Amino acid sequence: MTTKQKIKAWLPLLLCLLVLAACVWFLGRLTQPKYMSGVLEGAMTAEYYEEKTPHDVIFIGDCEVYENFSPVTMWREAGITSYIRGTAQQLIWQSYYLLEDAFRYESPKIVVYNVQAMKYSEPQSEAYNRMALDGMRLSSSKLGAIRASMTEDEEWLSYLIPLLRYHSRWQELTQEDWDYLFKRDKVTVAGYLMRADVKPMKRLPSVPILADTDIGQSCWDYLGKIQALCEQHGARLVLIKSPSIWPHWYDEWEEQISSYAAEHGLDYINFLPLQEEIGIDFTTDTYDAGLHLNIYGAEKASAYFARLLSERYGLTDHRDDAVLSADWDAKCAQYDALLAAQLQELEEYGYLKSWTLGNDRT
Amino acid sequence: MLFTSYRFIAFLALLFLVYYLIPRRFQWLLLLAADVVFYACAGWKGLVFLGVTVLVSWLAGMLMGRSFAEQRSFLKSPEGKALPREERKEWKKKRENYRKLVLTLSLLIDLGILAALKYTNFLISNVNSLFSAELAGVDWVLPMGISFYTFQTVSYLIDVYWEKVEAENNLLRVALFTSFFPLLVQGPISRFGDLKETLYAEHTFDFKGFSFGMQRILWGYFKKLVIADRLLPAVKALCGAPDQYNGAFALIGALFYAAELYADFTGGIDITIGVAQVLGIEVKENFIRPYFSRNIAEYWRRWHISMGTWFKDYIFFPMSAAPKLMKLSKKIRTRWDGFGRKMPVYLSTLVTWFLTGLWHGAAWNFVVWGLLNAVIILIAEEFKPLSTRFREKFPRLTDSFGYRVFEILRTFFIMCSLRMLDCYRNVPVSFRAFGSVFTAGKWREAFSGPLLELGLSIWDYRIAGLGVLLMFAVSVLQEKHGSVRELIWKKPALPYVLFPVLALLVLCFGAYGVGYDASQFIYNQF
Amino acid sequence: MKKILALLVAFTLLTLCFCGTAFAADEAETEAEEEEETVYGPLGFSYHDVDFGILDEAEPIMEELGEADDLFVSASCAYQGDDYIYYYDGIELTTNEIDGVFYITGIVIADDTIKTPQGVTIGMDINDALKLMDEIEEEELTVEENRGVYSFQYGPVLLMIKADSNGEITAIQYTAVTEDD
Repeated sequence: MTTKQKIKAWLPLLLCLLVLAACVWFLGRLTQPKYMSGVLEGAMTAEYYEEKTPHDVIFIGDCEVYENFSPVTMWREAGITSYIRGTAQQLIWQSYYLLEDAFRYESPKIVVYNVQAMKYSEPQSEAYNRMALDGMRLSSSKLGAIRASMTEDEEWLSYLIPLLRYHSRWQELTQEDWDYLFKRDKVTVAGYLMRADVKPMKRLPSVPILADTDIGQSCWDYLGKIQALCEQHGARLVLIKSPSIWPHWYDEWEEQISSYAAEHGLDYINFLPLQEEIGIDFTTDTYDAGLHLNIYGAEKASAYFARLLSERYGLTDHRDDAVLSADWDAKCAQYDALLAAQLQELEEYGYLKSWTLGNDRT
Repeated sequence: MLFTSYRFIAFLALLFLVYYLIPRRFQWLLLLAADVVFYACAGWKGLVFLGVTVLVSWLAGMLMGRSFAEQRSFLKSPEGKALPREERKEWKKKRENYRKLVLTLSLLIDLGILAALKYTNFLISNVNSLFSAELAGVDWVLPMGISFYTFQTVSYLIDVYWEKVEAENNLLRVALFTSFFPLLVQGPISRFGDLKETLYAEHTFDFKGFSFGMQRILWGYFKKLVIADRLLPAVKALCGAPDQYNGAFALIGALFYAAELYADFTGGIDITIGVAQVLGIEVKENFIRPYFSRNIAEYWRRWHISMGTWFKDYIFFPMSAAPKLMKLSKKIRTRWDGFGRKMPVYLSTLVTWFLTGLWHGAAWNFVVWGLLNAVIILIAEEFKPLSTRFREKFPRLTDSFGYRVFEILRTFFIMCSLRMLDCYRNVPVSFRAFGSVFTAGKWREAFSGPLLELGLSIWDYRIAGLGVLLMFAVSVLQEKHGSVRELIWKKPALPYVLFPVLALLVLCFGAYGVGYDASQFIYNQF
Repeated sequence: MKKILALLVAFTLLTLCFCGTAFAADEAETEAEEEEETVYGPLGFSYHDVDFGILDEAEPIMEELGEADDLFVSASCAYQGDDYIYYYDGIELTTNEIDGVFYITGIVIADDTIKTPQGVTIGMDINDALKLMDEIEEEELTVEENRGVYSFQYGPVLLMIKADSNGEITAIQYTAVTEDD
């Protein structure tokens, strides 16, 4: 067979495979959940890549960071630029790989890690994995995160070819899937997921018994890796326990974290005993009876933390920087508009219709 | 390694690539290596049993082969020719007895392994039941494909004994024949004589063969993932609660199972034959549109053909022609001529189907299923003269399309009814369910919502229905025109349109991935 | 011919009768067994004369218990499964939704006014409690101890009793064991 004949024989097949690949890509985009309404957390990871300016502080962690800290408030309070790379039930190894990913794009001075998620030392949930990882750009960090996060019935290939995971959604496609095929609206402001509703904390349940209060070895390993990564990139790692009073933060965990921090020269700030100092009032500053802060609580915690970070670590006040100010002014405007919209919905419906699934109404 | 896993697809892709890149004389060795890898993925313990079966079969085949060679050589030699007749006979009988001993021992070992691993708990539970004993069961894992590869090696040994094939002296070649991975999971049970030329030959890449093989694999995945796995939850729900889902539900369950089992089994065979075809290896068909059968005998010539012919060639024919049975038949004929004449065939039929049932599973529902098949076949045989007279009297009717449809539907519903024993896995429950179709009603209830509570949405039923229609359309085309792939091949552009469309249908509508059980092919347990 | 048919039918019926008898016996035994066994076995609970346990359907139990004093919803992030914790006098009931139905997945004894069916209560000495638990005759019940937490498991049900350094019981709870535990 001559070369020309070989090309003639194989070219149609190659074209056919290319068309097939394009269809698979398109259908994957179509069937992948967009997280533009109801469950918004799945849209958060990808938003990071739209940031135009660098950040001095990167938060990593779960809902106890992206609900409890407001970067806009930290900007307004002390001119600190920050971003929260957090998703729902973000496990420590996911935090590590998201941080590694972030270091590809910028060099923050401070990395803040909320230690709550260290109670999980094994993969937990496919749904949470998807929300955390689907939005990551393809990189070795993403592959590492997938390998570390997969539950037993998951296949890593389905993370790279979304159609393999989401094909069954063809029955559930809505207008949102078509509208957001190639674009996304922002659901956070610099990674902060705003909630302006209030649900006071009345009474907490009894503290559950834990059969084993030891934090898993894999968590310690990843905490060590996070510290090493920070050192490698000239960033300072600060451990925190966010001011959420439920799920319960056990004394045994507190001991272990404090001990580790002391041993490894890390700063560790537990916000729980600081509630009074911060001024957090769980009758007004929470939207789910103490699990997470609402905007009012987040602003208090953020203002306090901004001052602490400035004083302790000498972070630069960037409010004089024209480029940064322009970017953060836009963020502030977005933040204020979002708050206004939420307050309006609260007045109209008594609950946040556009930002929740509606079944957490009181 | 499941056929429907990404790992298997990657394994195939790598195998296909390397197979056609390496020197052709090493291709069969590469296949053997692939077999070991494939089998090892299911667990190393199973490899030990497979290894023992291969070793025993190779050794026994070699010993019998040598004996035949020696016999031929000696009898042709001057010394052999000089032997008196009686001594020649005696000499031959000794050799024959030796080969019989070798065959018996090897069959005892091979079938003994299968019997021990598969039927010990069945035996124990029956002993406990009969004698109110409390013997503990065993916790032995059944090696993957043991029923298939054991029967394959048994056929090889018997064929060598019968001098139908020459013994294979190369251990690795015997290993390849026994363990050829596409056949391991659910057959077809292949004969050494059919495979040996194609399996060990050197294969050049052929674009048409590659294309046909890939299309067949894709079609297999369509049937398995879009139809079979989609219907499975409904089948499980309906058969899992027979008291709740009786009457019309039982009939619906039987119909769903008919579609699901057919799509699952033939889908797996399509993948098997397609893989072999891409490798240039020809494997015989195992299904020829069985639901178009007009009677049960024809059904079993079209469904799981390799199993049917295996039992026919190695159990039914030898038994029905056995000298002892012939002797007994002759004796009986002195008193009851008709009965005596038919006794060997009828008894052989019952025994064959008893064993067929047992092969399907170590449980009484399978035995009853087998025996009922035998009974229906024999009843049909008895009514053959009547049926022939009817056809002679009403040729226009019996040759009409309508009558053909009647026969096809009659056979289909008979087989669906028998299959209830497989679906419910319990004899009294199966009979109750069958009876309830005629007595319990629930026709209105069945179509007013409950079917949507079985784990399938309305769209799932639509997709499965369309899939079944497509399967039916392709079968009709095949029945009328033979190979559909040859028809497609005649239009140059058509494969390049159909292939991606079929691939997208599987990717989009297949019941696979998180949330779907990666259910084994139904026959994997065998 | 007819005789052959008759013989065949007789043979088949014989076989079927045998199987029928064998299976009928099995079925009767299974039905009897099913009546006795619950998922929680000896680790059931009783509150104000209402007997129930872990993985019981919540609605009928709570109807018998009457209206709860209060409710705490421990919402999970991104709506992936909430815990509904109902407060009753002396106990807290946790329920979770599984396939559209709510089941009891946690029972906590909140104070010393309530005892377990075996008589264990908050404030009791752990050794006395262990003696009471020892009286349960159940082969499948496993017991483990880890730093003052005593775990009793039967199938998917876990009873945990925590004692402080003085050997005094400070907490008692029943939970459902998941595959991850």
